Amino acid sequence: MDITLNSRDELGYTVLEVAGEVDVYTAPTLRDRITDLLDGGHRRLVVNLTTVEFIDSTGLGVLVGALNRARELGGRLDLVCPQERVLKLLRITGLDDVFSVYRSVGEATADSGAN
Amino acid sequence: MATVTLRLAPRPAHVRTARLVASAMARRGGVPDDLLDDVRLAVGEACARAVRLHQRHEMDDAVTVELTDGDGFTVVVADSVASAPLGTSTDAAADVVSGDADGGPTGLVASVAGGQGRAGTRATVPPLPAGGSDPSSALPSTAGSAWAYGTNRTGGAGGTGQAEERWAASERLGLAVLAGVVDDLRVERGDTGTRVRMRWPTDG
Repeated sequence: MDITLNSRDELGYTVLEVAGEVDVYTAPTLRDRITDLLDGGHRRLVVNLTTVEFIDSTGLGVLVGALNRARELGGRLDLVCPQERVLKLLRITGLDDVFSVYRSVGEATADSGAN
Repeated sequence: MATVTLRLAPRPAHVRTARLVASAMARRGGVPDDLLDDVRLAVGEACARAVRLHQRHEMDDAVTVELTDGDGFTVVVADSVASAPLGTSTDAAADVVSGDADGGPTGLVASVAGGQGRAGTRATVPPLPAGGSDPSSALPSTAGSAWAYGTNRTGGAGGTGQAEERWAASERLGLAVLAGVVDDLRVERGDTGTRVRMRWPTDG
């Protein structure tokens, strides 16, 4: 398995740390984990992609699905992503307009009053 | 000219292998450093698409990846699915890319192909929307039901419908990424399957 997932609660958010590679092989693992978190009542998710080594459209698709699911449940799902490589991917796909993207977990959790 | 050919059993785990080989060959072949991430991403996308397609059609045939250096670095990813139903987003986009990409406002990939052609110029921000500047318009269903998640229980769509929607969504995203990171991209549909051909410049 080339993906590592760790979650923790922080300032009213659940921060999911994603490390490694998110692709057609590992994306289902990410999807299952986020589904578990949402089903377990964690409705304010911050997905931290800071240490992601690689992510492709399959990974992005999982995040979009998770965002929609979170919204259906009255929650939210934001991204932390300081890497230009990943930001470029979000721009190419137009998803930078769909997600709230922060540079750090601190910024994401500090923005709790914004929405 | 030297060609390496990979034949991948259609398993998601093998896509990473293709990425690694492509990266290594591109680096050694003289693809500029700032394009290496694009090579890795694009080859991964093309292979993931082909693998998903074979799995969807329950085909165990290998996906072939042909990597050639000399006069640039060229990668051709070929699947063996001959007749995807007409009218899917994949087909529409593929037809437009392989056809006369005149930049008409026919779709996501069309606008990118029309805007960049094979001139070799790199767009920092790919001109995704056809004739517009709002990137979200390139993916009209971004926030809509086409992205429905597997566990969505609100709609009337059954599991099959959701799987179809997820499939269509991943196809669109994958093609958007391919078109966004490969200046010289051709998608050719044929009787024996689809060939995604990508080429990058090399130094010297």
